[in-house]
Amino acid sequence: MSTALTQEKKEISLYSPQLIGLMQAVHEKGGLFRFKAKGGSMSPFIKDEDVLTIAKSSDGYNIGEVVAFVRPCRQKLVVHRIIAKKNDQYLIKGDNTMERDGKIPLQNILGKVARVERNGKDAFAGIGPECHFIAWLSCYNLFFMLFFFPRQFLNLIRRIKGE
Amino acid sequence: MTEAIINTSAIYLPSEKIVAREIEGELIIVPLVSGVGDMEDELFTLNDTGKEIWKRLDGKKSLKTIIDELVAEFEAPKEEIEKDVLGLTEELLKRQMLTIAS
Repeated sequence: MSTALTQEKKEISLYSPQLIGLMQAVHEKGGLFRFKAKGGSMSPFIKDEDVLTIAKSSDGYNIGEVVAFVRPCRQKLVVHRIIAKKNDQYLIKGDNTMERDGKIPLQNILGKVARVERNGKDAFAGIGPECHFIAWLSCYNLFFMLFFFPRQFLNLIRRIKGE
Repeated sequence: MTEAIINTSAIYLPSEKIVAREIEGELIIVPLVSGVGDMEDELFTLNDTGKEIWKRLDGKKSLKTIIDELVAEFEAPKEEIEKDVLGLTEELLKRQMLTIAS
């Protein structure tokens, strides 16, 4: 036998129910939960590999806030923005997607993004007062189009130039 | 050295300032450092032997009882098991992941 307590960097799937359990357990102890984001559905505010700090809120969440929640159909942890709310139901959507996540009940929301770090520094995450405006743009897919079409145009130019 | 500072009749249990979960076969321990459970920079894992010891550190069994249980269960010399249990206990205490129950 030999024991080892090892400190390491470890990637845990966002599909892992244990990761969700770990976040809930940290929140139950009054702590914040810090982990690495995956994917680009919240780009440019949250990019792949950004480090997020999630805080539990005891009095619900507001439009514009970026929240970590469990998607009911697939039990996957997702971090997207609230674009509308009615009672304890939240309409949530990624800033860089056309599709909405649907109505998410309050009990599926684990917490809100309190901090975004990129390359070891705090990043502008659109979670300040500007979050309401971003939510409005996102609600009508204006935000997606604002970034999607110029990006496609630039990619086309690059292809034509043979870069 | 380790054996000298840890009393085998003492009973330990996981600290309130950690969260532990078994994920994909590994036992993961996340300490709450300054109120933050940090999956990015403060994540610890235990190997299989460590898991066997950890699950017995339940605030009910003394280290001596844990050692005896492991000796009965695993084909390894008692001295080796004792060294592992005391070594891990010391490491966990040093990182404030364990507290003494009695």
